Amino acid sequence: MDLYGEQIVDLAKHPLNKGAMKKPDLSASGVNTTCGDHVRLYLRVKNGKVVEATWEGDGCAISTAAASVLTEEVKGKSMKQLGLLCTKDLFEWLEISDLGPARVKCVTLCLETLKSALLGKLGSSHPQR
Amino acid sequence: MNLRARFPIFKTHPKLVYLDSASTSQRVDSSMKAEQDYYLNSNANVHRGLYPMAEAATEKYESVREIARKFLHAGKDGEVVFTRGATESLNIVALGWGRKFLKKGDEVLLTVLEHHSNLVPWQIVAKEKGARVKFCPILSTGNLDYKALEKLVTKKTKIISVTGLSNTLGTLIDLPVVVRLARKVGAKICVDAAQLVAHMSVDVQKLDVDFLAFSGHKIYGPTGAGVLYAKREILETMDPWLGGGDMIREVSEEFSTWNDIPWKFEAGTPSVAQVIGMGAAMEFMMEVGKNTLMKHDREMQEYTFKKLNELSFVEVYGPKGFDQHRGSISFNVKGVHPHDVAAILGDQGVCVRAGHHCTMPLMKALCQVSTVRVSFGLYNTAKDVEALSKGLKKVAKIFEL
Ligand SMILES: Cc1ncc(COP(=O)(O)O)c(C=O)c1O
Repeated sequence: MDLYGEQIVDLAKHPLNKGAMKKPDLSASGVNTTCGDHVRLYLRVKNGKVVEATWEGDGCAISTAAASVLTEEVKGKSMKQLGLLCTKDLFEWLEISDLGPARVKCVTLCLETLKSALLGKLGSSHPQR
Repeated sequence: MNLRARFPIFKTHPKLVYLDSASTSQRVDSSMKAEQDYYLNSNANVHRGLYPMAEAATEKYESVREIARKFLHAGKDGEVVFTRGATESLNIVALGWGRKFLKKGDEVLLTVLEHHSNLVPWQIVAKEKGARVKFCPILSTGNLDYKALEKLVTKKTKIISVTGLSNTLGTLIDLPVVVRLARKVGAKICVDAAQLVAHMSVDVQKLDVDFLAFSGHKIYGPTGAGVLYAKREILETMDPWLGGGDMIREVSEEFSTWNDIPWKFEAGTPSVAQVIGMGAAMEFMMEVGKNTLMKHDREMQEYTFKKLNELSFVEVYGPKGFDQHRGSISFNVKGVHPHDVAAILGDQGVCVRAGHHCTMPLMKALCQVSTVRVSFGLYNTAKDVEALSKGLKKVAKIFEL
């Protein structure tokens, strides 16, 4: 029951950075096929650093809270720093310690989507790869 | 009869509140025993060995056909095909009948209530044959739109394949009406009875259906076994869908000839123990009888609707009258995602399902991404419904509703 602490419930009810972004520099979509949760992530990048991040989607309290904190925390980070983000960071930001295998994906969906947004950028600038 | 006492899981977990029987039921003691008896006393492959134990195994396995015939009130021999479950049964209809008889421009008529296992096989075959899959919509009540159905049934309709009872909304389908429409245009009729047989007594002769499919694990038997009922004359015209041992009469390097029905459709070593266990489960269902089944369902769902109605933050979907509804109730807690509801209930020992329940077109029709679903088995009591209600109040408390 610890899972549904104040922070997660609060973010679920009042998500941060939720909404589409016009002409983002980076964006990607992700779906959790087991439960149908989906997220679309948008980033605006200036001088190699994230200046704005938003997300759209539909998901449970955990995935909504995760997308909210992720879009908060990426601001000011460089592309390299984004590449180094991992599940542990999200757990820390969400102030949770462990999750059953079925729910870990609720946390990692937005992170995986971020990684595919980064790959998309690499893919376009290095077409030969 | 104390029905709950027949389910050993509640001895292991006395506090278990299991409200997910539409997904899979708990197992009845006699079914578990029948499986174990086979393993302990007559474990051998079927239709092969000439030694006494193999003959005993074959006899046990084959005797389940007669149980299934009685369970479905089928008339003739050879109309019961054993499968690994309802999904496989429905695939046999699509791949064994559809692939042979559907032609370009033909139509397969389904409903938006269908489980993916009565939808995807038809999409696969229709694509192969250039046929079309059409869907009958539902009304806002969750009932099938029979007026729309009447218009959708045309000369092009070659088969109507419908669920008998929706696994998501608990909507009962008026099968006699659907059968009448099918007969008018000479279409075949297939019933996905995966949920129906768990809640109603089914008479395939009275209904006059061509195909009917179900799984053993939703009627208190084991996983890995199911039934396809099909009319003899239709089975005889169908091609095998899976090749291998047991389904052949003769094999040469150039060609093979097929075994008689129903074995023609049972390639490979079957789920022997599970079929035997499913036989015991069908016997249990017949022993319980349709009156007890109906009384229990009525008590459970009336009480559940009452308790859910007391909660202002709960929105219930689908029909509610007992003549239109059985077994499953779908709902949402306003402003809370179904997975959070299910997880919080789960933490309190209340097992429910959240998701699209393998009915994505139906979710679209309901304008919901997913729902919370409770579904009943013969072991459920009023206490389970009270635990559900208490759990939902906790959800409301956590989310400050
Ligand atoms: C209505 C309906 N049809 C078909 C199936 C598929 O059954 P199985 O998974 O046992 O093959 C189910 C089970 O979820 C069902 O509820």
